[in-house]
Amino acid sequence: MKPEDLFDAITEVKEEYIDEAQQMPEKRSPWKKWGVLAACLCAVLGVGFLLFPSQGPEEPAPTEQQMLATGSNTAPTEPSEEPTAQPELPTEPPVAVSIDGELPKLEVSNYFGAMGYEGYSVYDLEEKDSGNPWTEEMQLETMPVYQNLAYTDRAGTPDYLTAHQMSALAQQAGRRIIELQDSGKYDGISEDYRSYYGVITEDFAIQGQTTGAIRLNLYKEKSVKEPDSLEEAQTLAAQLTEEYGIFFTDETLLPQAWGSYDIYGEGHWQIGAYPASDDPLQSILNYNFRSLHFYIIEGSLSAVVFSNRFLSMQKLGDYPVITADEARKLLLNGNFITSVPKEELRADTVREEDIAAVELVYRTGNVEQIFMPYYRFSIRLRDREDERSELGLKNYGAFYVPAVESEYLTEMPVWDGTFN
Amino acid sequence: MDDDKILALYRQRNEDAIYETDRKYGALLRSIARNILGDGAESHDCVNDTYLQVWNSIPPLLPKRFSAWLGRLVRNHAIDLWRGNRAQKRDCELTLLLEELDECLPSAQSVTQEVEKRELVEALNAWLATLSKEDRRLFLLRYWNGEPLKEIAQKHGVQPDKLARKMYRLRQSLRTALEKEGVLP
Repeated sequence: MKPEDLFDAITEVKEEYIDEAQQMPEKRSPWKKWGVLAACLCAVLGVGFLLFPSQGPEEPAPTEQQMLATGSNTAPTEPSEEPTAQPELPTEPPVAVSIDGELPKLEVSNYFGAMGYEGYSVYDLEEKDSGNPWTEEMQLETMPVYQNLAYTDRAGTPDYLTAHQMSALAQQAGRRIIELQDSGKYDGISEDYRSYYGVITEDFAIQGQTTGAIRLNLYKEKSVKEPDSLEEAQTLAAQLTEEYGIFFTDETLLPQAWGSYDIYGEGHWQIGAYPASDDPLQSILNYNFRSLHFYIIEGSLSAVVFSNRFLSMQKLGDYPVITADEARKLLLNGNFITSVPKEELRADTVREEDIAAVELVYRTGNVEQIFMPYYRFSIRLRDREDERSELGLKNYGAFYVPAVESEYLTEMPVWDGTFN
Repeated sequence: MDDDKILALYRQRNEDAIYETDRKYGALLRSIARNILGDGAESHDCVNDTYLQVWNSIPPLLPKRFSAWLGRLVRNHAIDLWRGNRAQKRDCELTLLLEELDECLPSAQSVTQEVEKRELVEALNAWLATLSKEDRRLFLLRYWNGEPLKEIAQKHGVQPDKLARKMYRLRQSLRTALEKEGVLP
């Protein structure tokens, strides 16, 4: 979504609010004092909220053929009233056919979006930990790299799965839920702003999205207490995963919770889950590309999204990867990408003592052409000049070192203190 | 003149309708257009185009809230014109507005889902409902009317820098709301 879309949507807010804004206000003398300095404000613009690498989507995805097969008698305009058997869904994304058998060189994208930097304020980095299954002990020698088929240029909207595929996706998921609940009614497909709702009942709607995600919108009030701490978030994640996970997959799901604190020191917690696997590599892929996310608004669960990037990506090959130790050396050598401005660092450059944690992640945003693994280092930054430092919150920023061996990269990134 | 009377003129196909509309709402509509398109002839054309559109729409359309409906028309038309011609419009107020609104969105890499406009509007309405009347008015004057901060500050008898901080908090609050709403990841 672009700011233009938001500006555009603002046009349509309630007419009474529009009218209300046009009334002349009573002039008053200045408002109550604000404690924060303007300079400080500028410094924190855009920080406060963290960007977790969007942990990808979810569940095994149907191939186009399978989706078309399921949906063959259920064209978007003429939905079938008779549910057909659910097809087996592949758990692996398709492999691209390499012409010469060689691994193509990869380009590191250092685009981070226009807003703020990827930083997080927490008391303890554990609060930001979202249950990444990767550990340094895994000693992975190669890792798969994928092409993002739903790639979109900067800030654009992804457009990959066709309308037919999205509706097939929504129908499959909808039938599953109806069967599991033994209730509900198949109401067909409706198209609305490029979204495809497969099943709509009074209680919920299922939507297939162009990247392969399935979104369950809950219309029936489902009260949940918004978590006030990581522990509460974890408990809630376990409860909701138990209750809703089965709607999306038969796999065992590992609940996750993570969060950070805003500029007023208030914690914001997110909850989700991803499919467990005995295979460590599969676990990592699930964590990054197939995950469940719960959206809670005003004490009520409003939506559950099961992302599945497997539906909109294609494997390029297994690439040799470096170890976290080797990545650490590259980091200290300036071979990284980051959205953190130089002035936020505690010294002129990243120092050994500022490295607080490392994990391996795929960068999976829509603007990534290639989904490749990175070592993400959490680097301790300068303390914020606001309520957060008084509360004892520590400020960290994300620094990424490509995990793929440098000979497979078109160019090793060198930080010059700027980004984008 | 009452809105009802103006609307009656449109229904009678009486061209005074446009004159009366302009007399009552012209200043507001021109300022909305100007805030998006700048001071040039385009703003002027934008409002004139809108009058033509109103003339062609009523009847059969009968807007319930005439002023808000007019405002929306002119705003939508101005956005379209801006989109068609943005290369030349680097310095207009809208560019600044969009930069500010960008703070309400996560960086592109974390946006994984399409956002429906309807969903976004609903979320905006829900968030606006949580604000005090004064905050809501300030937010809409800035982001619906597109009024420059200075003007709003003057109207409200507030220091511009204080207003800027207020706006910052409102944007952060909107962002949090959109995230909670599930509109943003």
